[in-house]
Amino acid sequence: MTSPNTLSELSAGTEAILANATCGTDEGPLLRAMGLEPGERVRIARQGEPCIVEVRGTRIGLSRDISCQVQVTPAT
Amino acid sequence: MPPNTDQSSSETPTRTTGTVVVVGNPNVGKTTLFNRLCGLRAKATNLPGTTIEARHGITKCNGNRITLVDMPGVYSLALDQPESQSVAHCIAGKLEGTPTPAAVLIVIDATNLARNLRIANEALRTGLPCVVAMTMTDTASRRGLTLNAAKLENYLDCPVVPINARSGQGIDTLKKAISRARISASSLPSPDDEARVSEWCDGLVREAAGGTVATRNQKMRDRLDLAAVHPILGLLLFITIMAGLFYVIFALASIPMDLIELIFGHVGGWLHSVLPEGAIRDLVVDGVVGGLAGTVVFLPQILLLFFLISLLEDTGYLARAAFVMDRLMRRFGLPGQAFVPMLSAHACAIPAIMSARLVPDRRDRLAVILVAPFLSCSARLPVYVLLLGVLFADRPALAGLVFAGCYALGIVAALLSALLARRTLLKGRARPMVLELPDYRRPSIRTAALTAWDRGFLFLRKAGTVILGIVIVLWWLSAYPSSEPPAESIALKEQASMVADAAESESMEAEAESIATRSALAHSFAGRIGRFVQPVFDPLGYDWQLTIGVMTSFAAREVFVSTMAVLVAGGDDVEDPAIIKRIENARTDDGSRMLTPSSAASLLVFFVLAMQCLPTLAVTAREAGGWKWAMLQLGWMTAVAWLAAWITRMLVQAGGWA
Repeated sequence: MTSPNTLSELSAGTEAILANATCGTDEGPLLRAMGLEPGERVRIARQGEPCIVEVRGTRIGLSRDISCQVQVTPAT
Repeated sequence: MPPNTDQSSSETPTRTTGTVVVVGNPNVGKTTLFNRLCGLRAKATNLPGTTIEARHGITKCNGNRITLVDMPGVYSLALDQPESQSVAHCIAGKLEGTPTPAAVLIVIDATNLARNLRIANEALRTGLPCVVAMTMTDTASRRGLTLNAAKLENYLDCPVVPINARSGQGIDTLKKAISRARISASSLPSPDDEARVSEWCDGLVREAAGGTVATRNQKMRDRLDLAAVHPILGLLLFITIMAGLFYVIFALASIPMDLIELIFGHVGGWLHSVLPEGAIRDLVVDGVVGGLAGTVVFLPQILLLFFLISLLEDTGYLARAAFVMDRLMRRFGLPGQAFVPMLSAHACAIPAIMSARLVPDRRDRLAVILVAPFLSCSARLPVYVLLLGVLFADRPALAGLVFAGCYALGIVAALLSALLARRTLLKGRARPMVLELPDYRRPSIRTAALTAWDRGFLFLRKAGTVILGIVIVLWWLSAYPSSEPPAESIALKEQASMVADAAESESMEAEAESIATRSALAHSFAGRIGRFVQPVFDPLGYDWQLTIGVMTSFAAREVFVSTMAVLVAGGDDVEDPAIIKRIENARTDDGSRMLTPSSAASLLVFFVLAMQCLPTLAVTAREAGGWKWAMLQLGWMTAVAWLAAWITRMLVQAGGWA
């Protein structure tokens, strides 16, 4: 098993550090403005469609099209 | 960061006058604060040529009248989104109709300071005097966060006021602070350098906020979210809540609607009795009072819908529901938020189109506005009932099935048209859904009431005046030019006066009156237009009488039944079964039946799909930001309806049913 590297591969309840929130999509600037910035710690509250993440106490719902592109590194 | 000095020259009171723009992230309580400051003295207007809305309000700060402009909540001024760009334009004074602002009121959420400081930085860097209102401080302290407003004020170099918009705490202090808004001399990071912006925000949070965020109720919130967006449970929950919402609207709105009709009926009757007979009386009673009644009658539904939607939105549930419906709506190129307008269109397209502002993306919103009138509104019901009676008089089960089919046809037409619009005219990638899920909260009745008032007032002021004008014009077309009663009617009247039996005399007079009314309508402008336009509807099997019915129903669809009653049955009591029977058995000029199965079926399909509601067109023009959208809606829907009605007639005739 390789360690998960996108948001959509993490299971609910786990935490991770955002590696890159540009996602290679047009939504990158929006995600960063919403607080999903590289280096932030996120917690997965729900996985799937939608993926719900918590960052600094704020919950954000992401459709799978986006969560599968957000790269993360495992939280230490 | 420069140290703040208290003896700054900008401290002199009563400095800021003119326009102050309110900016901030979504869900930070910006609108609640705006309502606190301006109360009922606010009006919502669309930004020129867009569906984006700004609200203007007046408030008094240190004796100065200030115009507050509440812009839509955005996460940044630099995003490639129409909302974000319009806020940036507004601050830069490039927005038509809004003067260059004298100051910016930045609203930030204390519970998520790091993110909110980004937009604060962008606003402070514009070089306009700024003042910061910090909301949600009560929630922040409950979560174990302590915020030092004085420190923040020092670093940002502009006034920072903690407030509670719901309770009104801190509002007076904020009003005083607005008048000493100042241009920040603090060294602010360039928004292009994202790493520095993050660093700056984090630095400020470290300095001004203490304590660690306690993650209380996290499990509970997780569970609620899991249930709310669950593919099955979430859908059931959504259906239950929506069914409840619309049941309440239907059950409650009918009471004031009946009352409005009753009151206007009495006023009309009274005016009819006091005014001298003639054109003025007709104009006042049938045109103005009738037109007002036809406009105001929409108000209860609009008020209730927006009151309830605002409550629902405030609880935080609507953001979750958007994800549930997104799974279904996305297939037709529409986002989850489109569901509320599409559902409310089954009551009436007017409040539905007004509620399309729940849809965030401009293209999606326009698509929803364009297709909403395809959905069968309650005004179509009387027409469906009449035509189904003709088609399936002795087969109620089949009538019920076709009745449901009418609704399904409307839904299919709306969804396919939306898909087509999003693929062609409103082309653009469907944005994958990214939505902040605000905390679950107890909704504010005050905010809901203000929202409902706002929408109701907007409807009366903008759409209402147009609708009133249209109704008066349509009344005029069907009432003028007045023609002499036909000889048949005069003769009957004379006969009636000679009959001894009072009851018989009365019925003969009524008969004479109805002949006169029918003749007047046939000779009116509307009647002439009907005869003139009839060739267009000939392929659908409509004679000139049905054509007049179709034409007059442009004022409102339910008018069709009363027009037909006047035209072919000589009475306007549409509750009377005998009148309905007479419509069903009416003949055309050559003696054949007016409503054959094929013409009735094609008429039914036409009514399901056609844009026959001028009030809706007026609202579309307002909400979409131009009459071109209303004309497109009219053209597209009429074309689809004509074609579908023609195909229906051909199929029915081919099936040998005619």
